[in-house]
Amino acid sequence: MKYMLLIHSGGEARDRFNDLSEVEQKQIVDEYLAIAQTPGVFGANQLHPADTATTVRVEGGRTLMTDGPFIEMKEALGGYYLYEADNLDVAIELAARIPAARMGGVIEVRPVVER
Amino acid sequence: MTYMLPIHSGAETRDRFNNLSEVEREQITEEFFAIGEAPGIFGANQAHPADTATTVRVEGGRTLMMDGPSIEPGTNREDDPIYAREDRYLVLTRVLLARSQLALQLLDRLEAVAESQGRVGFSPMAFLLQGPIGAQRPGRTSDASGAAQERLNRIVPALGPERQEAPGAATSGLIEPLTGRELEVLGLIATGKSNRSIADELVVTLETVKKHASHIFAKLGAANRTEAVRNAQNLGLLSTSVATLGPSGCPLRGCPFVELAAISFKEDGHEVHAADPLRR
Repeated sequence: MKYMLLIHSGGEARDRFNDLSEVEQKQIVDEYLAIAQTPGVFGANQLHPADTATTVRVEGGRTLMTDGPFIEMKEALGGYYLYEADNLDVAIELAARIPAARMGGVIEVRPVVER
Repeated sequence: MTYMLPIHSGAETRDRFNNLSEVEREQITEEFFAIGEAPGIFGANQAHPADTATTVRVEGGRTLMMDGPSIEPGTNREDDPIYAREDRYLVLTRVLLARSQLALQLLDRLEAVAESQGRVGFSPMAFLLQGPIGAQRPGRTSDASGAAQERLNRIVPALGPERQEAPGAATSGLIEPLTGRELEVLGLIATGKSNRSIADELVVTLETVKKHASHIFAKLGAANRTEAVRNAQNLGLLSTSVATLGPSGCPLRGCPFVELAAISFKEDGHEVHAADPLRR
């Protein structure tokens, strides 16, 4: 089964990361990169901060745009992994290794629709 | 530059998709596939519905798991409103307006945030509120609705001549006019509320509401609630028809009119699930 691991790391998680020393930040980044190398992980990206987002919807044929993320900053998406895992438990194990999960953020594990 | 386009399509969007015919759904799916094939697109996935999500966080070395998505569609009046979610706050404002004065405080803050970002030259939020005010509080000009009405009177003239008349209740055309309280009950009936919930809202007994209802039916020559509302609309007693306000009936050009079946919010620490007053 394919899972998408959505990393919600706005607000507190971001603040806590920014408060770390440069060396500690480097360690965290290495952890993220190591997770990306885990067998089964087939996609990973880090996103720019949520305040760079543009939110788009179309109403009555008009494209409406707003600056900023759709969801609140503290819940904002910071990045994701795509992970092919035998089952949800395995996916949760990987999710728990993601630094944001222990730094005030949360990881949302979502099964991907198979095509 | 590489962009990620996360598609937020829960709740209302999902309902709308599910309500389409099979052929229409097939077309939408094809559209998604076509976008997936567009030059430059190098990755696309559809997630299973949000209720299949598991949310994981780690506290003190322990892995904590929770079923469901991390993003709760919770919308609360204490939030710092986000303009991109204006639609939800509008629905919440309507719900709150039907409940309490706190709605107006939220409205003020919504307007402030919209203005501070230069989003609007007028206030669609306030204008949209005309629906529930007109429908739910006919004849009453005090309290929350009075203040909202005053706000509307300031704003509405800027929007064009069609809807400048105040949504007050006219009582002409009836042999015996409805009392203020009866108009109030009628307004609540028009929103689809049961006698029980009207009693709760007005803080009176069920018997009292039934009595008001029977007087209203007699005066309007109506056999039932539907007929009463229709007759009242024909007589202009409900100057803003709940039934005709909607995405197509929105009088504002390009107004972000959204109806949600229901909205969840927290009240005194409890999760409350309330229907959009305009929906029914």
